[in-house]
Amino acid sequence: MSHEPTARETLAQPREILLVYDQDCPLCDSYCHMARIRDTIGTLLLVNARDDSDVMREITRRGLDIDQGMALKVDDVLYYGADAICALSLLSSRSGVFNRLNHWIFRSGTRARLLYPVLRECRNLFLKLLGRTKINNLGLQGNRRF
Amino acid sequence: MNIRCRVLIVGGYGTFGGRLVQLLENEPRLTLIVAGRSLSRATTCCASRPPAGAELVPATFDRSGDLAAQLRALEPDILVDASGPFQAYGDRPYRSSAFTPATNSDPSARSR
Repeated sequence: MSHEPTARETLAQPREILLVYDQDCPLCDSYCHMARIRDTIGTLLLVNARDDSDVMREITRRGLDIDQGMALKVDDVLYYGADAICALSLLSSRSGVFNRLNHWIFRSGTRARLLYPVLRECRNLFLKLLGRTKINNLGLQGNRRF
Repeated sequence: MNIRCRVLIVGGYGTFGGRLVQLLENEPRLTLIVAGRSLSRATTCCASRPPAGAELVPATFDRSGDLAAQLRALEPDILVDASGPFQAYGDRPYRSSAFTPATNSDPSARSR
């Protein structure tokens, strides 16, 4: 019996896209769990920024403050903050209201850069109310509390 | 229902392909699939463009890979092969274009 390959099977090398964010933030966690990328691209792996991992070490090595923005790793490229959310929206599937809305809002880099600071402030406020401390991956002095 | 024509631009983040993207991006009836071997370069190219009428979609496409399967996955109506270097096309310079009719379908019949 002939087998019609699925979109994922047509990928020469299934790709893993890493999304690094603070899983202690309920807003970020809900957003990242709802985000879907297109089947033809690969698999989206969610990485907790509070855990030690290769990608977190790379983020720190590059001097990126994960408290100031999430990161998306595509191949060897790290997208950070507004760029990450814009790249994620471009790679996202268009299935479901959330993904369509996400794509429509953040596909523009300009719009993402305008809105991202607002979202980050909401995240910081939430974590402050929940009594969490910053990740402080760069180990800055006096940077533990929100 | 508003169905856009899907234009696959292989090498869409390169010099020639990028110029094609610039020229076509204001046309709201198009979905421009900006493709090449590097997904990150395709994504960066799409993210760098200002909000435009056409929908920009980054994708991977390897001209030396399984063309039929890749075209079936991306479902283009039109294929533009702008990948280079052009002098390295080999003895089958129109290989990718030759595959397109086999994957072409009635846009109104698509589920997405």
